Amino acid sequence: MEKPPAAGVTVEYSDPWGIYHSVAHELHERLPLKGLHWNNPSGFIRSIDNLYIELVPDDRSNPTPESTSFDDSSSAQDSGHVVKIEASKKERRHQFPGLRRTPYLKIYLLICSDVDTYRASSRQSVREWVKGHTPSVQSSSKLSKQENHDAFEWLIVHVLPTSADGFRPSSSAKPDSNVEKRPTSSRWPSRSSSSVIEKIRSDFNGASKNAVDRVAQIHLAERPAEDSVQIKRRSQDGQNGWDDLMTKLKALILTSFGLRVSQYEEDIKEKEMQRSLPGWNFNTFFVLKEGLAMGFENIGLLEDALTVYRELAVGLKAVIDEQDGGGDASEQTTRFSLYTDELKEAFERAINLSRRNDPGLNASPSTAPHKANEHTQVLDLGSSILDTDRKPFRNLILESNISVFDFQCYVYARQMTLLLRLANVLVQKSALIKDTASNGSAETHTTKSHLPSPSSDNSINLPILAESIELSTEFIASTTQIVREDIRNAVKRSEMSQYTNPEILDTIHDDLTDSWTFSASQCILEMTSSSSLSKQLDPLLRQLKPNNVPSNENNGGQATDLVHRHDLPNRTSSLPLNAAKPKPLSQEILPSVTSLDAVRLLPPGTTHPGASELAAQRGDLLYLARRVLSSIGFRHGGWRGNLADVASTTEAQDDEMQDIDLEDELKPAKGAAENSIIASSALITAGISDKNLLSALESSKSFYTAYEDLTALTLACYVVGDRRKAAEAMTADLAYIRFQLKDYSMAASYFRQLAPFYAKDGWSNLETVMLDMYTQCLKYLGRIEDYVHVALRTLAKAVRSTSRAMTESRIGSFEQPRTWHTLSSTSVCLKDIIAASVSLDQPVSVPMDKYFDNIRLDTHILHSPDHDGFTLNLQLRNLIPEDMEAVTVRARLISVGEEQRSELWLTTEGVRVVKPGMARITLRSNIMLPGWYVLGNLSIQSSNIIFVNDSSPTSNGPLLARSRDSASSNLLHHQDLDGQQRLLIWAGARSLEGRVVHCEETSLDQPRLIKLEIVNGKEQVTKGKLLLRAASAGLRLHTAEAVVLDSDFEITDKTQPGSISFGGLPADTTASIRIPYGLESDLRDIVVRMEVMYTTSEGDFAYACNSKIPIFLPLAINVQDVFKQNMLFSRFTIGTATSVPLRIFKCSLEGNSDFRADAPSFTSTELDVFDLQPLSFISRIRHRSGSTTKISLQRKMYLHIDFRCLDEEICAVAERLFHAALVNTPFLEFSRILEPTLSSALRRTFSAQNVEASVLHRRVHLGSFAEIGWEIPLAGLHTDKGNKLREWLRNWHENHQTFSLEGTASSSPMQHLIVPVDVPQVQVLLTVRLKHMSNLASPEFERDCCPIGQGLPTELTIHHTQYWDGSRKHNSEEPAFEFCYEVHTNTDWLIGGQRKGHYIASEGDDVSFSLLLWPQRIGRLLLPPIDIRPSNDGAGEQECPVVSCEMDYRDQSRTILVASDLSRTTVNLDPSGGGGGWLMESQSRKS
Amino acid sequence: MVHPSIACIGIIGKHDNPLHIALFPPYTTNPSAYLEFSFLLNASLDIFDARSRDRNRVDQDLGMLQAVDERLSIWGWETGTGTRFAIVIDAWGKTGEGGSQSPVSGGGSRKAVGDGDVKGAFKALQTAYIRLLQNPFYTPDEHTPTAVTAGKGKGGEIRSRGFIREVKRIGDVWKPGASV
Repeated sequence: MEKPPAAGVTVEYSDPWGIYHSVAHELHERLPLKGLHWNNPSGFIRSIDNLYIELVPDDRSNPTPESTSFDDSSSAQDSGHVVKIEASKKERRHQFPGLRRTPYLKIYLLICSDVDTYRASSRQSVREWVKGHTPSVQSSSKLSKQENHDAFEWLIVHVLPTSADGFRPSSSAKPDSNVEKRPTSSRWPSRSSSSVIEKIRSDFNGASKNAVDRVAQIHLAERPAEDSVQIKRRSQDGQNGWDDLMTKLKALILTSFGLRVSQYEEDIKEKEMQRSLPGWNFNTFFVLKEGLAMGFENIGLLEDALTVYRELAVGLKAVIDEQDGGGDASEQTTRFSLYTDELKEAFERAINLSRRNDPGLNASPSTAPHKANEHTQVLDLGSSILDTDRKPFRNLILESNISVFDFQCYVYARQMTLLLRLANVLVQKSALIKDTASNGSAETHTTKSHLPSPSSDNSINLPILAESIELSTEFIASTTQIVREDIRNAVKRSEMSQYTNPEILDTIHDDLTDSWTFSASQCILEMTSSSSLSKQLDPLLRQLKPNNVPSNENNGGQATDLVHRHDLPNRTSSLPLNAAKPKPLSQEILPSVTSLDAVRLLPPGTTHPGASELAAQRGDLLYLARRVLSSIGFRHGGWRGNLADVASTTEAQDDEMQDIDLEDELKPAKGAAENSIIASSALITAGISDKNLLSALESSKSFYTAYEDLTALTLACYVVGDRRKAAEAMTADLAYIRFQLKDYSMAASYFRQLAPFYAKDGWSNLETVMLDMYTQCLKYLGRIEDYVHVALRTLAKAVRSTSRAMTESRIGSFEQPRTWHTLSSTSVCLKDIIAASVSLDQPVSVPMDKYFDNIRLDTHILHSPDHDGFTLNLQLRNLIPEDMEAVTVRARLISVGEEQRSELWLTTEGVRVVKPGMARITLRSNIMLPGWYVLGNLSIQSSNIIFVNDSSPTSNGPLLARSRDSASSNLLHHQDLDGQQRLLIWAGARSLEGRVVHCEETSLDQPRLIKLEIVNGKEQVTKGKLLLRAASAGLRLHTAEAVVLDSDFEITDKTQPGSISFGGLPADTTASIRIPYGLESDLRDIVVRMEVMYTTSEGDFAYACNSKIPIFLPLAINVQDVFKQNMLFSRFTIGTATSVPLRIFKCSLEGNSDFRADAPSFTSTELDVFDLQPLSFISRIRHRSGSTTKISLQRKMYLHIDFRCLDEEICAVAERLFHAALVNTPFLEFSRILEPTLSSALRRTFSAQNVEASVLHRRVHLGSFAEIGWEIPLAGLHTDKGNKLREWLRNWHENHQTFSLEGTASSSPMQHLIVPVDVPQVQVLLTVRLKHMSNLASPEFERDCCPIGQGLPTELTIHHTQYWDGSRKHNSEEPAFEFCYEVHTNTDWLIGGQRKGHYIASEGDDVSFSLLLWPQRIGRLLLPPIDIRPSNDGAGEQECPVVSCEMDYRDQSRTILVASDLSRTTVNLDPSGGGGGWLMESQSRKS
Repeated sequence: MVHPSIACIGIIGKHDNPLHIALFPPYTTNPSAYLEFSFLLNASLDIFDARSRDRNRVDQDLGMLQAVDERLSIWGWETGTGTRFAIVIDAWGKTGEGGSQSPVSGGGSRKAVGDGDVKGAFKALQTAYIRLLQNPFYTPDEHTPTAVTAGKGKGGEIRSRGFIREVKRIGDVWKPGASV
């Protein structure tokens, strides 16, 4: 059987025959009434599923209390209540109709077996009863309104006993009816009874047709305990009777209810209309309206009741506001008392308690237990918040004597009761009430022991439960304020404030308020706990509370969910901490997970609808309680559990924590300070009335335990309630508590997860706090590596927010002084990080721009006046708000515009302190590597932390390639190459400089040479070293064969390949070294990188340069040899190789010991050679006398050419001019950049044509300022100096548009080329003659004349000599060679004789052949060509030696005059003119 | 007589990112207040989510989101574009006198904040925000977490001076029920 709820409909029964007990059982079985439908006046049909009925005996008929009844004690209690009120009914009827619980229905139980009995006695008594109880209810409609509030119906129930055995009248029943009934009922019970019932009906039901049937008949069943089978066999009539009774009960109750409601509504409407009238009293209105609400509640229409109460709550609020707001309270008739007695009493108690525990009188800790006992006496109002019976609220309301607090509480408690009923939470209200009744009102706190048993079934309506909690949260939050004022008003009126320290007074005031809030919320939480929710919460809680912290037993009532947890095993295996620990943190400092472990552990599928809302609402309420606990904790112990407080506490906590060991924490006394806190808190806790709060305040440990429990529970609720962000905030607090408890590893694992969560949505300040806390945890944990990483990150965050704040304050100064500074003042301090990083194995590098900004290198370098080094200023803004010791600052410069990428490091010397704000660091380099540079990266190292700013281009190759192109094409493009700032590094005018040039002297048969020049400046070099590196493929530098060209200079060591050490070099001297090199392949130019490392008194310096040296020869030489018997003519042709004009100063072939060379002498000393105008000369070479007999001849001779390329000369002249102009200006220091710029610019403009023209004109056009491209080097100079220099250069250009080449011959070094020339050798020289005998044949002809048609006898003579054969062995036998000659024919000659022939000849032989030549035409005819070659016809091919031979055909170009052989001729011409003539005669010459 | 006052105004973007958080007396001097309110606002976003999921909602006014404690309560408003305004009301007023006052000296009674009381402030905020959006120099897309991490824009927060000034004005002059 279900327990009936507190409220129900009262039905009064009149039982003159004492048969109620017989009926009661069966009646109760059919209760509550089911399926009622009430048609309310506004037209809606309301269904009432269950209507509980309280059966109350008539006060006249049976006043004896029923101890054995099925009814529970509540009805008895209620009946007593009703009776009490009934007694005073007459007086108060008009005043508060709603307070009574008058019956809706009155029943008369009649037992009467036959008509006779009825007529005789029963009718009379029934009639009397009807008359007495229902005066004019039906008959008259003129009821007074007050009566209608208590409207009721009546019903006569005729009870028929079914069997004699079953009918056992109770001791109280009247015996007379007993005897008569037995025989009748055994015989025809229905028949006789039906007649009785008809009688009754006709007597009492009224006459009209539509009169209500107010008579019902039931059969009495057997006792159910005896035989259940018999019950089933109950007759159909009996069943029908009961059904009929029930239907009538329902109908009649509803009728009276309808009457009452309409009456109430009418009254309320009337009252409401009077609201504006003076004298209107809210309290009476309230009681009236509440009557309606209670009516609804009784009948089971809880929603309607709730609506009424809500309207009342709103009305109450308005009235209270009015009372507060309206200045003239006299107008208001509704007055509430300003304070509540209970609260005042509690306050007074607390004051007394605190006085008793005054530390001045008794400060020993032994008073603690005593104190605890005292506290239990304190009234705890908060926990009895739902108890509407702790005070006679309604009376107080009617007496206008209720306080605002009580009134609000009452309205709230009524709403909550209804909501809880709606939510199907069964509250053992009766238990509460009984308790209160027995123990008296002062002991209400003990009701805590009677926990409502949370309904374990699923019938609980969770959404409504959630709604009730929401209502509670709102109520508690707003009512706390009322409590506060209530107490304040109470204090104001009492004198106790005069005795007590106002500080203590304040504390007690706050404590009382807070403890009310706390216990009220705890109370609500207990009332609304749902087992379905705790099923979800438990695993989460287990997860959140991993370590076995024994929960304080006193905290058992903290929350029901905590109780569940005690016997569960604690999990340690899958903690987030353990999961996180093995992870290599250096790789991933912070996880990327965005949801908490707890959130991920959420069991899937929350089956109960509304469970998450409920959990969320519970979370909110818990949050409220948590805040109270937190504020109390701070007030009394200085304990903080709120992460948000961290900003204000960090420093203080920091110091404290470092000193305290973990072991010490449990000891009660931490030190003097701690003691005093405890003492003072003991003094004041008097105001705290909540047991849990008190126990939490016993020590910091208990506080944090309690606070953590509460936080964990809140977190769990939020997780289940799908309030992710709130859950995160709770996790943060949980972590902070762990932190306070020095469980750093746990805290660290929490914070580690939290930071990315807040970072995700851009809550950077929260993220910073998380990171900061994480850092601190790591610090305490001693995980140095992680600490350094995270701390740097935290620092970066803090720095960023600071810098943003700075910019913001600059933008908008109107902004209120925001608390940015507190945000940025994280506990992380760079000094600590740096100190910690010392123990790291390897340095940690972090991006510099997170900690510094405005990083800027100067655009120009500064040369030191004392030495050869240079400095460069670095500017940056230190955003870290503390000094930083920079051990090394390094800047890496990367060269651009060169094929070889060079790097240059600039560093600082010594430790520098970088102060917050703008800082300037001077970087220095002793290495000079001239060129354009961009900043590669910048690093500031401090201990093991390196701040790196890497601005180097991501891919070097393309950029450099592009910059190389742009260097030649676009002049000004240099400056903003990819936005990179470019820096020009150049050597000062008087610093040491190294140059690599090609050696002026080139000998083609020697290894070629390069010349190194070291131009020393102002410093005496004590020692030095040259490092040479070939930067071209296939280039070999033979440094071991270096030769010093100056005597002053001494090479000390050249054994190491590529390096040459040298001794001292005085200031302002130049040393030259010649180094041969070899090449594997043909190259037009070679690149050599030279570094000069040298030591002066100022330190070590270095100069480096990359030199590109053209090595191709600008001239081309051709030789043509012509052999004669005793001499050789060589024809040399010297032309240009590159179409650049050359000037040749000397050109001679040098003879040697065996040969003599004769060269023609030139008329002019300088000969210009152009592309189309080569120089050509012939040299005669002869054996020196006697040399032919030598075994081996020195055949090699040398051709010496002194020449100069004219483009070089033009450049040299220009440079000389420029330098001369520069010498007298202050710009001399820039000569090292300006002069190369000029010459290279000139060289760029050269083309074959304009150089030729310049040379021919002897004047050169110098380009304009822009054409030279001065802007490029100027950009690398200091702005002021650059501007002046620009001005000067412009002027210079205007004055020097052209310059003359005249008179500048000796300006540049001449190049001297030595070309080895071998005297060619040939084995056999054939001297061929073709001697004709024309004078023999016809002597009349001249020597070279010959008549046509006559053969010319000739003799071919071939002379053999091996004069030019260098390999000839004079002692050995002369070899004989076989030759073949051939006389070629052509159209000029017919050849007679042996035209072709073989012969064998040896040294010195003359061979002759006779030939007859027939000229074929007249004229000068060349003698036929002759070809002689070594013959290989006769000999076998394999043994034929190749014989080189040259032929000197002496008669090669000789001509023979061929004439016709006529001395006279006669021609006859026909005189007649007939055409034609005749040769008459002719005469030959010979004849 | 102490009026409840605005303790904090938070403008929160639709990606749950804070756009602007303004504190008001007496919290401006409290070092931990900014953090505390950040936590509160962040946690209140859940309730925003829950309320905006409610299909029956017609108004942009989401009413009271959470009663934090006896002093503070959070009220919410969501614009059509998903930007959220959260106002934290302090029942103890600008001077904080409502609660901390000694019971000896006594304090005035306070007025409770009702449902429609905050609406005026919200409407003023919305007007200010619309004006901000009309500003051609304000690009809302630059104020999203993704844009911030990508390095676009100048950080997530609103920097318009006019807007900040207007928010400050609203927080300063608001009284329960008054239009701002």
